[in-house]
Amino acid sequence: MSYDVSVTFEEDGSLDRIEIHIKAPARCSQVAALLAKLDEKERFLDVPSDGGRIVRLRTDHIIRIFSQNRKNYVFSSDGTIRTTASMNELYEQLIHDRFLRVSRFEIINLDKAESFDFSIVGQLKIKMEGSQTVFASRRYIPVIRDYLKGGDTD
Amino acid sequence: MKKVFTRLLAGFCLGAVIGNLIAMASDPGRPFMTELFVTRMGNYTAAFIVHTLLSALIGAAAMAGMSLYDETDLPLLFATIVHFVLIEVVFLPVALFLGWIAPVWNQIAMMGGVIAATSLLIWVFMFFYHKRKVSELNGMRQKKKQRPQ
Repeated sequence: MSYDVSVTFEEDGSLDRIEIHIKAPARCSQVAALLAKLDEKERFLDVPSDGGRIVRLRTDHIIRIFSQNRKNYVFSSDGTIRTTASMNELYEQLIHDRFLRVSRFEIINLDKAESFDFSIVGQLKIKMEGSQTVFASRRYIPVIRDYLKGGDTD
Repeated sequence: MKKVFTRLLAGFCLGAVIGNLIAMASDPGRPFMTELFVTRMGNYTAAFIVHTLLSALIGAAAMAGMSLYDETDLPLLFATIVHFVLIEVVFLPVALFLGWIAPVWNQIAMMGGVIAATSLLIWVFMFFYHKRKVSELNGMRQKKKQRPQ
């Protein structure tokens, strides 16, 4: 369901900062998108690369963050970066309605999921953009369903 | 963990009741116990207590094992196999000891086969249940893409 958006401005001389309040019937995906637009943290992820540089990535370009042979990588539409940051550190920087940690080794951007399947072994198989395939526990099926319906994963 | 413990307890009670019902059905002339088992235990009271406890053990293993499906990240197939092995390992020795089945290969194999077939049915049911849920995700994803943000 999509809601109409009404924007109002209220002048208040007693304030020493700008306050933005969003009122909605629920914290749906539309609200999440508005919050994301307002929140710098959501738009960029600072990734310490193994070369010692900090690479600033647009979060909407990130497809997945994964761990392989004890090394962590950020895979985005701009390329793959090997990072010195831990999975926890990276996950903490992301807003969790779009990014889902599906295992100890994998964080995915749900907006970059192209299709879902259930493997014969009994795991959720997620095809991501960039011909990437991710396997997750079936326990994440309801979490993903909530996100796609417009709710939050938190 | 609380869920596992609750299931363990529920399975224990359920197993005690069902075990006695099975014994009753297998030997109606001597309610609650097979004649063979009562003879083996020496007296009826001891036989009844041991029989009830062992039946309860089967129930507890089967019910607590259900947590493999929803409390762990094990893939469905592995969860089913582990559950199946757990039940076989507990059920077959208990069934032999209680005299529910005779210690002959065809009876052991038949009982093992019944448990295997039940496990297969559980897997088939759960596999298609999840398959349907996952295919719904694809439809929802399509709808979300079309939704104005």
